[in-house]
Amino acid sequence: MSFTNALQLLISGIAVGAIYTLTAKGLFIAHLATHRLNFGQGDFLMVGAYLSLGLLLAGVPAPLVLLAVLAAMAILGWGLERVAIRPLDRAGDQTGGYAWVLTTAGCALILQNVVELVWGKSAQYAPPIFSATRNNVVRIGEVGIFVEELAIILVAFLAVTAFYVFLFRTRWGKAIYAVAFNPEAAALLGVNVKGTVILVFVLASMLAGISGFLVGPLVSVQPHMGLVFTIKAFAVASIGGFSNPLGLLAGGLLFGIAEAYSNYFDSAFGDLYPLIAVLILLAFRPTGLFGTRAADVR
Amino acid sequence: MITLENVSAGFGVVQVLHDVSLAVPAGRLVSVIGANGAGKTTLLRTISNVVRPSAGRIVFDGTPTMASEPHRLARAGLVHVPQGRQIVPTLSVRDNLLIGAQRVAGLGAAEIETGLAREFARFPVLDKRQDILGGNLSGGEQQMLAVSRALMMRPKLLMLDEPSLGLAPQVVRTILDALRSLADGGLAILLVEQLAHLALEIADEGHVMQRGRVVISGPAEDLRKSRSLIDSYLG
Repeated sequence: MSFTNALQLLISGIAVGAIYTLTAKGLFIAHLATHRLNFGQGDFLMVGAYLSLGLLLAGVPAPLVLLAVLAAMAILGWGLERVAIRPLDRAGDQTGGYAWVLTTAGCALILQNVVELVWGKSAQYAPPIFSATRNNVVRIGEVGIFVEELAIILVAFLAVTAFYVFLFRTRWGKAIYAVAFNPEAAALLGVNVKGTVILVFVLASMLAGISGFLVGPLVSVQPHMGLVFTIKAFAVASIGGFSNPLGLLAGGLLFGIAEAYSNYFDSAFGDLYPLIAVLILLAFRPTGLFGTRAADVR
Repeated sequence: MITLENVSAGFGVVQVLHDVSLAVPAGRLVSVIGANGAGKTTLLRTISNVVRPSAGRIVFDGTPTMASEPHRLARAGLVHVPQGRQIVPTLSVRDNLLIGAQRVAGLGAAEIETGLAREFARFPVLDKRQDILGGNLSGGEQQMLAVSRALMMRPKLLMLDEPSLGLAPQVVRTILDALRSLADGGLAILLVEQLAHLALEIADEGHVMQRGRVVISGPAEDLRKSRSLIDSYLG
């Protein structure tokens, strides 16, 4: 492999890895606050990808597309909490229950079929978001790098940064940590617990939406693409340790880069090797690379 | 500041509180003492509306609490420091202090800064440990943080559930003295304690609970004198 190739793969890996990170953050934040998460996180990404594709093809400017996708995904996240999460509390599935696995996966199946009805089964190609054609390249010496990939990395990192600022610097971030620790104690401090639970599912859905917006130019978009992203987001969250938001970033980048190189050497089974590596990692370090063993002091 | 009239409450078919009546006016420190399982914790959780009363009436600051959710009551100044302190272990001391205060309407950035300075003066150890995670504090420091965190919300009524639990006598002293001077400053305080002699020492008024009922009520001074009677209820 030449140096040029290696560098191009690295950039591609970082672009895809940043998208995995964003998707995994949706799993992380929902799991942190509610000990539940959306098994259709990848399918929410798929919906985001289709919405962006449709709007971009209709000639809507990219920044407006992103705003529209974020708004639509926020509503979808709110709806998920209403139909798949909250009714379980009323039914008494407070702790230890895993009914949310079925309800959220069920919503994902519905979304897949709705998208298939609207856009059809076949794979589609999203137009480039940031440049005139998919193959616009900036040259740095000998090395050509896709403009799209650079822009995707930039936007993804902006989103990651915004997420950290939100989590660590705002009063809502503190509310999420308070609810994660003990919902009743959080309520006694004036935290609206129901509102916070809605907020995390809305946020998780918006993160999937940004991922879907960004992933369009990198892959073909089709109704059943979601499951692969859900699985990879789980893998990333496991490497990062579900409790460590910075670990997620490292996990996502590691996974994306590993995948780019492994696809270069084996185009048929390239996706397989990073997942096997994660399984082996978890066999030896069940808390991931960055998780701590005794994080739960309750 | 708060009045309970014939309040009963429980979980499903199990009734825990029977016909409890008491009042805590502003500037008074009222202690509720009783053995384990007497219903003291349920009493506070019922006042906070975490447990819904099945009968009776609770009026806080002139308004019945019936229809208010716990977080709305807390924002309105009915602040409850639960048992076991419940400090968020993953947030710093400073962030723990801010959680509640940032949710009270009318508390701006300047008021919150004043509040922080006031609490750091009350418990200087918290000042030194501002950036330490809540989970890394000692039990005593956590209890001071829990009291300060509640006071950051500018409460009208402060309720504490067994603040002495698992703490060294000296730390208990510091915290109870702080409560006494808060009451002298005009705050209404409802203190639930198992350490009857300590609770009655600082209280204006006391209630003894047994199996969900208030069995003896009176000025703390009188209750202190009938020590043997009280001990018989505390078992």
